[in-house]
Amino acid sequence: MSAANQTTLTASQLARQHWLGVLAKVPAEQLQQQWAALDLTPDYQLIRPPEIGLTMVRARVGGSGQPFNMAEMTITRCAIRLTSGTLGVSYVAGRDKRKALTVALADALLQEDTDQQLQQQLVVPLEASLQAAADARAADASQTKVDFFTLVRGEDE
Amino acid sequence: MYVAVKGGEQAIDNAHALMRKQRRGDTKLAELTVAQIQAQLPLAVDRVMNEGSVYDPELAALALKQASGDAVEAIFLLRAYRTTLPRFGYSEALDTEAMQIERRISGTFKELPGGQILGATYDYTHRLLDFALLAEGEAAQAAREPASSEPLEPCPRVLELLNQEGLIERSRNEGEQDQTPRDLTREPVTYPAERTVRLQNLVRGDEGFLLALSYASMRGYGDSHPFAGELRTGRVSVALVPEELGFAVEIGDMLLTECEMVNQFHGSATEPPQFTRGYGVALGRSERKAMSVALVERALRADELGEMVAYPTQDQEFVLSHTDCVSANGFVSHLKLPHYVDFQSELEMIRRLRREQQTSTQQTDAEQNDV
Amino acid sequence: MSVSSELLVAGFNDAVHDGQQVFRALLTAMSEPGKLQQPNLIAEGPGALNANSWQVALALLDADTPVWLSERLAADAAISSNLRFHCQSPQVDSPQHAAFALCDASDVPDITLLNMGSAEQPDRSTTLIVQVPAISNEPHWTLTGPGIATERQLRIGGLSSTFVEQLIASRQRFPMGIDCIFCSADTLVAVPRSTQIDINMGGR
Repeated sequence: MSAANQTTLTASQLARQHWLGVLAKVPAEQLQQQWAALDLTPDYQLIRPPEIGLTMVRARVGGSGQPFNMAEMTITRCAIRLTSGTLGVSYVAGRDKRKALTVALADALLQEDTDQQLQQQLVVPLEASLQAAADARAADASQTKVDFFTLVRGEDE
Repeated sequence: MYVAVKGGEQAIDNAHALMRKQRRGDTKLAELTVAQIQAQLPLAVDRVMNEGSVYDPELAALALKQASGDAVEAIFLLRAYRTTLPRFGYSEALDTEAMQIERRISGTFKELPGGQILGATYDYTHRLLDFALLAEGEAAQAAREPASSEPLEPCPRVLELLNQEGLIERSRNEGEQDQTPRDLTREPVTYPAERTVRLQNLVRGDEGFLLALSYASMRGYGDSHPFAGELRTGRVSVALVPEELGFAVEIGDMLLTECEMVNQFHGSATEPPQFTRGYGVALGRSERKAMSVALVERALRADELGEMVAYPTQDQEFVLSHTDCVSANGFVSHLKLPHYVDFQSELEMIRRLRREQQTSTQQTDAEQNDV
Repeated sequence: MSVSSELLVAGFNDAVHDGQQVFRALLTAMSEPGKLQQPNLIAEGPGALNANSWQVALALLDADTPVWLSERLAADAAISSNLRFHCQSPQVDSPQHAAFALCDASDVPDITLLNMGSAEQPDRSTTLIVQVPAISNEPHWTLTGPGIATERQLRIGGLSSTFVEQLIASRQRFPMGIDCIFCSADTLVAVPRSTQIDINMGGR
């Protein structure tokens, strides 16, 4: 993400960027459970039915040098339009068309979510579970951190 | 005369049926599921993703199942599948500095910011077969006695420590702009290839080939005296910029292993003596692969650093045109195809040469007898 | 130029199979010049683009095919937004660099400015997609050449005489040249560079 690009984003773009990331990263099962519990059935038109493809993932030489093409990753994208006219899109890693559709619908509804209700019911809990999973992995790794100690030898007084 | 060979259709069908039967094995045993392969043979899955050059653990696991565990066949299947999918553009360049670390070690500094984090590793095991795994039932979970109770600290790049003293080359010069890298899946490699194309080639290269090349370069067939500056494994966020949004969105996480090797460099007319870097990266937990890529990557920089190109590992064309296991496998395998006509012609030629030799020997003998 | 999301229309319902059907129709059209095809897999196109041109664009264009739009089509934000969103095609300013050129019969480019390929690589030429008011097999042009047993009649409405003259003149540069796809609202027809065009003087 280029810093120059980031700084020019509006508050609503930043919010949208954030929820699209959370919804894409959360395991599909969790997302569908949380989504189903909300019992939302918006009317919509498919602008781009869920479609599977590849994106070429770029990394940097030495981690911070020039970008290079590393390997492809499967990705599913989707776009819908609510009857109100709001466009919802999704770009999610993997090949789960249902997930892509759910994220696109959620994206459209979240744009109309002026009272932050859907944000609270959907994005906040899912983000918390992502954080919990990350914390658990970090705790596992932390257990394996080496605690160096030096053997004191007799020569020095 | 040319005789077309036809037939064998029934035999081929039956051979495929037999392969499926053999793959399934003893039906008294439960069938292996793709989910099990993905969960329990993750390192095999990682290898298939690396050389298949597609990050999708489920597809790699499916390929392994279909290929009866043959990694190269599974890689071929994944490569074939990728050709059926459309390309939805390129991701933003990954920020591996922000990796969520699960393992991170350095062979150059003992005490380093963030510490040495061993993660899940086969290092330090005694390589004794664990017969407990052969017994039925769950293997005992290791008791977890914390070696450290502190939470993880940020892990800055180890080589940046050397950078502060100016003792190592920079991976990027001040104010250097990003260039669009060429993509070898879109345009064929031409030599000499730029560093970005070489890396793309190596990341999808055959692990065994790269391991052997790096081994050779360290044994004396290459000018390589490296240190493992840093090895890290963890999750990195992948983001791309959709046309209609105009800003980057994250699409998911990718598990990666990254390796930076530190090599001595005696300096040149323009550069003072300093350390140089070799960079390797691999999908999943593929430490051996990432290290091999880093070693070979550095060896291939010989030309640009003004070192002598004396060994195969330093020869771009030799290395890069032979890394791909799908190409290598294809070319070797093609020998199994019918070469009946070619062989007949060679057979004819050998017979003719023999006859000619015999005739000339007889003639010489006759001439000698005449004397 | 950016994508205006309020202008986006639907693409193919089933990208793979619908795309293949349109491609199949184009293949027939190209191999049998003058033969009319009606794949009709999509209801409407974006902005001033008719549904037929839109489905041809969806089937043929992608991120690897630079596209040039005629002035009028380029000025239509709905068209450029949808091409960017659905096809990801880079839009180029010069038809010389375009794999495909998209235009309306009222707004055709100077054919000599298109890329005719090279003698070594005639396949690198620009393919021209022209949106036209009407297509029929009424006598007007007599087509002959590969893919046509004897001759085939074709009438395409709305084309200027300059354009037609340039198209006929471009035949002299074969194997270089321009392949054309003409799209009316519901019918498409192809006239590849190998097809000879004779204008019937007797016809209207």
